[in-house]
Amino acid sequence: MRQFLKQAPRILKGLSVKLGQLADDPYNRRPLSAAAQAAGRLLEQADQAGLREFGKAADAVRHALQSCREGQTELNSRHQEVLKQALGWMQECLAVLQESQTELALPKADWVELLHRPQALSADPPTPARTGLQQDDGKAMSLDDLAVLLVQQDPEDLSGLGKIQSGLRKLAALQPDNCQTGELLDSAAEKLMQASQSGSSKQRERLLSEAGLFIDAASDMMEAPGEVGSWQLAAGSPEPGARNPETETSLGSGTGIEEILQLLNAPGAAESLDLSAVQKPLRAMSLDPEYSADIRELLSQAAARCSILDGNEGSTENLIAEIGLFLDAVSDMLASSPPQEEAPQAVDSQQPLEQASPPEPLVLKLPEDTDSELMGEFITESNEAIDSAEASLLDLETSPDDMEAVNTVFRSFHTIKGTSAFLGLDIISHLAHLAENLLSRIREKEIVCAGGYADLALRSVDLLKELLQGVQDSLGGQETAVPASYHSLAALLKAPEAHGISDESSDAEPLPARLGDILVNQGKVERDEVEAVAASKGEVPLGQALVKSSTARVSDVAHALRSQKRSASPESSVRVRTEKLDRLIDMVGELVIAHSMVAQDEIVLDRSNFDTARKVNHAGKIVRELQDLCMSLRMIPMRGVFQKMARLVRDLSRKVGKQVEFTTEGEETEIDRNMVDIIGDPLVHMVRNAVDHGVEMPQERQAAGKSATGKVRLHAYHAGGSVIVELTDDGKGLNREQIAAKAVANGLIESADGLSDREVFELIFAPGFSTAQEITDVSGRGVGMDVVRRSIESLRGRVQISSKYGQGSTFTIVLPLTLAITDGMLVRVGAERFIVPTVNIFMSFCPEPDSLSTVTGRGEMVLLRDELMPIHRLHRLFEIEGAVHQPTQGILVVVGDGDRRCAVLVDELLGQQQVVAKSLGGGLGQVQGVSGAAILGDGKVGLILDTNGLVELAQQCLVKPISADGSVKISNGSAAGCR
Amino acid sequence: MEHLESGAGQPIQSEGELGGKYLTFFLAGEEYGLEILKVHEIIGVIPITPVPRTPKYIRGVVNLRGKVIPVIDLRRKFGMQPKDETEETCIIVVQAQQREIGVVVDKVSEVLDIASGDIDESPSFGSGVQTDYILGIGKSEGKVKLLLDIEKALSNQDVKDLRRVTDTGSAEAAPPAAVPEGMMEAHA
Repeated sequence: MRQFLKQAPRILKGLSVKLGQLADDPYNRRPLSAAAQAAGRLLEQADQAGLREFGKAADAVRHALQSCREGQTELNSRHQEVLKQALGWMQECLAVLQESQTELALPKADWVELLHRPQALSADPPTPARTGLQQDDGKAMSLDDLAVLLVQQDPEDLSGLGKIQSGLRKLAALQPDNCQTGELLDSAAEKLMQASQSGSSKQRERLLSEAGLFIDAASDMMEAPGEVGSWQLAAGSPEPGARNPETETSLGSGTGIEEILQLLNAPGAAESLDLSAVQKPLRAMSLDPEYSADIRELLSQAAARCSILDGNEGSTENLIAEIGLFLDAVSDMLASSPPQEEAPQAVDSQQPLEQASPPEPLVLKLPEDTDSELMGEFITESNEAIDSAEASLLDLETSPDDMEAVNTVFRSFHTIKGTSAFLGLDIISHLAHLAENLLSRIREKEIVCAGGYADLALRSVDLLKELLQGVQDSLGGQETAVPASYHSLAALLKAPEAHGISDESSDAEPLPARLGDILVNQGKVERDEVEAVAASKGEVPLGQALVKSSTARVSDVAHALRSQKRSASPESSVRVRTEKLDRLIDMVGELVIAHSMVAQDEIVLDRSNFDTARKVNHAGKIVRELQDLCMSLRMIPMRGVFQKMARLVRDLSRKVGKQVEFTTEGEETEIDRNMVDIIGDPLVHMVRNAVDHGVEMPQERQAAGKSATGKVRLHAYHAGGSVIVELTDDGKGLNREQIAAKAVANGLIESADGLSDREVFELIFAPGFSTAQEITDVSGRGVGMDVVRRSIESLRGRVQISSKYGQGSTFTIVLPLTLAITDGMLVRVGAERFIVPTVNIFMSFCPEPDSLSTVTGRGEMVLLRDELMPIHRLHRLFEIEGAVHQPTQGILVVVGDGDRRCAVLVDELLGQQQVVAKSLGGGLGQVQGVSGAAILGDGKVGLILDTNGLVELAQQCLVKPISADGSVKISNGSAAGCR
Repeated sequence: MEHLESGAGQPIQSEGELGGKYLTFFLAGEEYGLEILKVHEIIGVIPITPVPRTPKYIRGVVNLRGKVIPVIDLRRKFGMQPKDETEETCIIVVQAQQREIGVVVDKVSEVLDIASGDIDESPSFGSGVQTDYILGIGKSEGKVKLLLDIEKALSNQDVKDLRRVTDTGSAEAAPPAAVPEGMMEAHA
């Protein structure tokens, strides 16, 4: 209400000023639309303040003014009288409202009835607007007269101007059917008015000559309504004499609107807006037949706002905002109208220029010294590049922010560019270069790969494909012409924006939310009204129909259109620095711990505090959900890695001359983002091995009774809180004898007797181990598998091999879901607690006294299920006092993998716990046997054991015999012995 | 290397910048000062998790609101007798070499403003006493405060010790006399 009382008087004042202007000059449509607008604002304010009566009254005024403006009724003296009455009533109301603050005491508004029945107001004999047309001849004469008068007009003497001006206005009012002429005349009159008010004679002169131009254009138009070109120029060029085609193109294109918007949005626009700079192009565009009638209407509305702006100091900002709205609506309409019409036009205009420089149609010429073999390779390579570019572009359709995909496309173009330039195929390299430029702009995040840009990139890919086909044909001796679209595409690529290409999508997508629904939801219109309009609208878009039938206001529709566009964009995302994300995940990890500290507090655990326990439980649920969410933030599907493998297999199989069918499964399995980067390399090694060593040559396969095509399958899935990646091939499998022989030769083992198949197979993970008969450039150098094992272990994962000779092998990688959280077993040694990662634990058990034995007094062993393994005492390795010394009193935890299993003696197991792994903090560097630290449930720091490091450490120290007291002193002196 | 060029003791140009605020604390009856800008916070003694196979002066790691930071016992570091913790024992969290490190001290005293004029060059006691991590000697109210260069006291030497530990498997702290060669020459 306060807002209303503040705003309404101002608006009313503006309204009364406009009505006053109308009384002087009833044919001037500008004050009319301004007044209608003001009434609309009153209505809005009243609605917001909940003043129904006042709102109704304001609506009636608005309605009356609008119907006048649209020519349905004429603004006669009776009409004006009622309007004046209305104004008086409103002012009265305001006074009452100011006192009583309620609507109840408002005076009766008997005039409202009158305004709603315009017929009742036609006290004056109605002068239907149409009659004006019949007097056209006479009026055209007078237009010429006016023009003559104007030419004779002395810029210093302004007395005659008023006459010309009113003549123009009258004429304009008589042109209802042909609003363009009317607009022109109106503009001329406007110019004259400005001239009469203008102080400087120079400006006056300019304004007068502009008015002259408008009149000329109008008279041209009347004489030849079909010919629109000339007046359009006249209207478009602010300076006389500047009647050149450039102006037309610059104003005719959609970019004009953008420019104006820029002007409007410029800081300080409210104070120092160059009105004419905005108004003129707007007016010119509103007369442009290129646009549809609705757009023209919007534009002229915007121009009308400009003229309101001219005489209105107060609400400049509002008006500018309104103009902006109109223009937004226009550009929305322009964007929604199929741009296919625009693009070819633009191309057409460019094509003559382009083709002018190379007049003859280009023929794809191969350089004389073409090496056909080289060319063949180029074609294969380029086709592959194009394939990957295509795939990535399609990926980009759904996720335009995928920079990896952008890079792939970029590299593809780059490759083609480089090679084709090397081979002298300038046409191809030129196109690839242009496409590369486009992609590099996307890569620089200058533009987004969406809509028009994506189309452009795809078109480039298509054309490159065609050109490559052309090259191939040329190799076969055929003459091939460069496709006609080459030049147009090149021009488009050179300056996409100049051709109206943007990231706006050009296809008409099904709209997810209907415009009418949005408007109804916003309470701007009634559902019935919308449906009525929608039923009768025919081909016209609903928004335009709504505006036309004055069911909804233009600005509302524009708003709704924009919110519709917003809701139409599928998934929005925010880029976040990985650092921040990591910190967030860390913090959530801490929150989980802090919460469990609370949850395990005695007060909470005490049964009497049931209520507190319930609250803590509730918080726990939220925290867990938060943790899950945080974890999922980092997860990405394995698809990218798998696709890389597909490419690798294809290349490799071709290179080694094998036929391989590669299938992937579970690409959507999600895995920690950091792991994706690390898992790539080991997978490459393993896939290479599978193709190079695993799958046999086709002849061999057929000889072995298999199909000539080998199968390699990559399968990822979740199981038991881990991610499992399986690589299966149906090749020859691992040869136990061969591996054992090699291992014996390398001194890794003394004999393979008594070793299980699995143990033998795991020998291939030893550094430098390779059974490949000959070293190829692909694999066989023996550096692969130990790298595989190491990088997977760095992810706290494991690799397992199962293989049957002659039938194939399966490599299974077991990875934790995420790196941030470690599943650990909390163990106690003396007063210290450590965390052993669960992945590293095979089992734990209490040994029987007779299963223990010592080996030559050097080491202790335990026999478990026929497996003999060394015992390492954690308290000795870490010099912890007060720990259990007898293995039978403590617990043995079996850790390590493969043949390096060992039992670690700890005092007891405290339970399983998920912990956030952290580094030990700067300054400590690497501590052997400890991989990191974690904060335990009680807030103390627990160290995470690195089992492999522990085994290594133990093996170093085992060299030293156990001293009589059963402990190994680790000191400076013994350090040398340990080595 | 600049220490070598500037001759014995502290580099001359830094002498003028020594004045400022110092946090003073006690260590076996001696009062030391730490540049206040290096101090992040002072916390009471919280449970410290020992890290195996590290030098004795490294007490272990603590949980500083979710961050794991190492804690160093300055008494041991300076070759003093270890002392049981009291209520006054504190961990000063300092910023050294771009990371946070906790330093266990007997007692925190006060924050002192020491003017440059009141700071003397650290005297040389011969090769037996290591003085390279003493910035200077501040005088305030007739008492002497040893101003510590915490970067030097904590960083390089420790890192080297740690490296040696991890390399050789030795858990013994390097003797404090093992001063880097450059420093020895500077003090000779």
